[in-house]
Amino acid sequence: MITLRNLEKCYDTGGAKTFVLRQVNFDVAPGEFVTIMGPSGAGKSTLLAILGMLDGQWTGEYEFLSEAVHKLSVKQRNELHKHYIGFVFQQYHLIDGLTVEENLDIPLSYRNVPKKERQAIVADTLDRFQIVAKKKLFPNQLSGGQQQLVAVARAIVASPKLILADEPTGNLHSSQGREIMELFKKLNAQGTTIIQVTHSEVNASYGDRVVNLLDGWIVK
Amino acid sequence: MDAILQDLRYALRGLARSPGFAIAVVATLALGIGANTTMFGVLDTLLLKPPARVRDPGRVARVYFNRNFGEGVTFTGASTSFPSYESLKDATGFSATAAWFDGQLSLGHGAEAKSIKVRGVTASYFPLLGVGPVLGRSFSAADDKLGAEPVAIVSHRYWLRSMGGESGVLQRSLPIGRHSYAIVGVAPEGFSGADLEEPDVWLPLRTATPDLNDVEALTSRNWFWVRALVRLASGRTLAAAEASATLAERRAASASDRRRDTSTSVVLGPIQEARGPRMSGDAKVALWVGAVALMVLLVACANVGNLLLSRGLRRRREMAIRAGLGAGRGRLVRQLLVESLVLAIGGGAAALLVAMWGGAAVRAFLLPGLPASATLLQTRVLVFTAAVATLTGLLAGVVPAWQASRTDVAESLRGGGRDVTATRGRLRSALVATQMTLTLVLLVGAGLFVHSLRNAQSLDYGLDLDHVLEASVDAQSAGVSRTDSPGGPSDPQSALYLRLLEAIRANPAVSSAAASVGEPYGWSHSTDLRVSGRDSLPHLSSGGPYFNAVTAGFFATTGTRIVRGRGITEADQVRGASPVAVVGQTFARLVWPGRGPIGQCLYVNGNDSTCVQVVGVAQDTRARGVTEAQTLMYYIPFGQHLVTPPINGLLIRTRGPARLADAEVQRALQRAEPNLPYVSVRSLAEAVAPQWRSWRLGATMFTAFGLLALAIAALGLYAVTAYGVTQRTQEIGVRIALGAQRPHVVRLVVTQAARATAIGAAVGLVIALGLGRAVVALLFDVKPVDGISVLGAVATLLAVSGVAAFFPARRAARIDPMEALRYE
Repeated sequence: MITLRNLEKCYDTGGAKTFVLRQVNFDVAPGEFVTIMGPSGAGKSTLLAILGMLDGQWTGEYEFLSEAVHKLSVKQRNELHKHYIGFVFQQYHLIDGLTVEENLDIPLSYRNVPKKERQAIVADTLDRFQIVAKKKLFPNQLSGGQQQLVAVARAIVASPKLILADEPTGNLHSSQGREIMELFKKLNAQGTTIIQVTHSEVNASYGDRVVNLLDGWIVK
Repeated sequence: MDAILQDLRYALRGLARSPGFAIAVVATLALGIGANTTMFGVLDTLLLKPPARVRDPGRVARVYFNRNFGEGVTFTGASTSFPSYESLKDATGFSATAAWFDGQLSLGHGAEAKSIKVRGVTASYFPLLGVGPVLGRSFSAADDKLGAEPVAIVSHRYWLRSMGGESGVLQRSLPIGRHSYAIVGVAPEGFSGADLEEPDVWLPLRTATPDLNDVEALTSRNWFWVRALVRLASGRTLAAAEASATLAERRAASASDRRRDTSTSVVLGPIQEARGPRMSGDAKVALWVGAVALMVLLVACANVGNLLLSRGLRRRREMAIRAGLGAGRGRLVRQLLVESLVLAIGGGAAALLVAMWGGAAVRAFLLPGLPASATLLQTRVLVFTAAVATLTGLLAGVVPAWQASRTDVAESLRGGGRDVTATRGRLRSALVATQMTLTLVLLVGAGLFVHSLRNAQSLDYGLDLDHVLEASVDAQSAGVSRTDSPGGPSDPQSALYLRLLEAIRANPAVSSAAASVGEPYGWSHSTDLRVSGRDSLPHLSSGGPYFNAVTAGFFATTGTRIVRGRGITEADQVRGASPVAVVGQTFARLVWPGRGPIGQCLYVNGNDSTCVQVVGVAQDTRARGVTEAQTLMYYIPFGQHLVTPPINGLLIRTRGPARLADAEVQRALQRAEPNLPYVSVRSLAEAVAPQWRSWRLGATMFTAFGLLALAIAALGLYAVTAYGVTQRTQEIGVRIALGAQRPHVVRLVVTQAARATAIGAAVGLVIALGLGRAVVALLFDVKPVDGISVLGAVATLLAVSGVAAFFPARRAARIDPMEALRYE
């Protein structure tokens, strides 16, 4: 599904270059559950943002579902991201002004799904995640765990092939975190490829393999 | 469609969650759009909209005459002689012609007399415009003949307000001038003819001429008093009709007198008078005010743009999330534009309220002659407002929307809700500077015109404007007419005024009174004058020499100082007394340079054998105009029969302020003679006020709009500075934690605001100085680079900007560093 070759990202800092990622070579097969680990500043979140096509400032080669992403325009990348990738953020990043139901509706709306179909999918997702009773609430009326649950629901509502999760349990209690990881496991079992970034060994154990990053390099 | 409704729903909800922001934007737009809505209504009435109820107004034209006065001087005017109007009927190209004259006549006599506006029209006037009365009938050809039974059509407004809308109106008559006019019709509501101002009563022109003018006016080619309208015949072009009318005019002129100039040409203009060859003063003013209102709208747009930019930056995280969820840039821009359009529509609706108030203010302070209909909220005005609101929403919102959609998703999400790129908002600063630029231009304009107005009002006019009234009566309506003998007490008109003079002198509110042939800011008289020892007299741009024949006590009444010799006494007025004169200071200085004028001789009105001896020198007055400081003026006693004009008015000095005594004086004069028509009384201050109009107008307009722009700009500066403090809270907390004192923090915040203000002020100054040169002809005794105006404007701008930036700066200085470092 994913192939990275010599992927690099750097920032210009007063004439010199500061590398965040160095010669990253990385493959992910469909259906895998991969964990990326490393100390703070290793480049984990940056790598995830590049994989999710949220960051376009890098060099190297990136193939996603046989598409050469490094050759695509911004618009083409956005289309690819929109149709195949769901993102779960550490800080949930729900839209405060929208209800739970509307937060789930937004990704479908951006994919031009007709209204009736959206309503059906959202209803189904709310039921699946057992948050029907909370559909009219706003994010500030939910607990952290509930918000992250909604964030995960939002990430999968459009049935993406790949889920990218950046510290998905970082702001949660251990029991809430366990709940989220069980959910990821279930989704993976149903065929969704998952790549997570985490500091937690417990979370890493839910995955199939671990990729370690240190100072921007993948280390064995 | 569903997506747009979704955007609309989210926009309304988002604005409801930020009521302060929404109110600030709507209020700002309401002021900016409201000012323009008001001025559009005025400009629409003056320039664009045809007069109400006129059928096919595009085929109706006003007639102007371009006349040659020799030495390359030509003049295009609407007034012409009645025979000249009649010659239009010989032109091909017109299906109808009509003439009209506007005047003021006395309704009734004695204590109940009132002044009414009348319009004398030919019988063809109403049919030409395609309008018939709502009650009764229009004028027939038989009505419009000299000596015919006098009939009248009352305006709808007059019928409702002054006659109670009575159903028996067609059985009534009105005593107008010297005749009783039987009412035969009521004009339709809102109909004002070809002009904007609705008269009280319409009279047949020829029948009413003895009341409106002299009968000779119907046959004399030298008497320019009527205006003409034509309706183009089907298929005829304007150019062809003009050529034909010119030919007819020249043929008629030549036929009447071979020596007469036959180079006059006819020009046809639109029915809207302001669009003709001689744009009215009101229309010019309205265009100026419209341009100024547009500047205020631009300030409002810049302000709102800044507020939207700040809001967009606060929503970077939300925009990043939406982009991360798949929203394309177009979708994000559309969402934000829907929001700014919602705000603009709210601003447009509120603008209508502003326009309702603004319309009354425009009529009260800027254009008092404007009809009320010009400031009503009509359909065209509503459509204009909707269009301006939409354009404003797009203009103010498009750049902030584009900026907000350019979010770096990864960067924004990593930084949470804070503007982590810590841009100093060059665009925001530029918008603040733009507002300051426009505001300073308006404030400097205000200073220049206020200075001009004060200069004009503080002049020594040589007249006591606040304690002198001038009174006049329509002699024709009074039934008195001039005799052919030179003016003297026996002249019926003069005799009437002298009787009124005696009566008013006895009034306890009056300290003195005098009669005169000429009146300040009214008619000036000139006659043949020779001075012994001189071949010719000096020539001034103000013309002259002018004379005024006055009764004793004239100078004491008007407050004009006698600087040498004496004034005119009762003894001078006796027939047979030695002819004397008092000359003005400029007259004395220029005619007898280096010599005393007392005892010198004047020979007046071709009488070379009678020496009119100069007995005094009076202070120069500005009785002919504010800008005419030097005039060749001399005064002679009324009653010496040296000149022919009769007395035309009284000057009355009141014991208290004239404006408080005018009603009482008017009543006293009205009662003084039986069956006297309406006596017009006004103070000299009222008489001179029109002279100040242009400066007062400029001062009011620029001050009002300048202050409005200042308020909007200050609000914008406050909002931008407050936002900057919020964004830099953590930085400020760190600085304080590291030892920064309050003054350091205040300076940090204020410096940024001051920079934008200073740049804007500097650019505004350059523009204002340039524009000052362009309007220098409109100023009075003020240089375009007027230090007082510029310093005042800059000081005002800096002071208000300082206050606007102070409050956020004070808030920044009070930041608790521990709270700030936890801020996220």
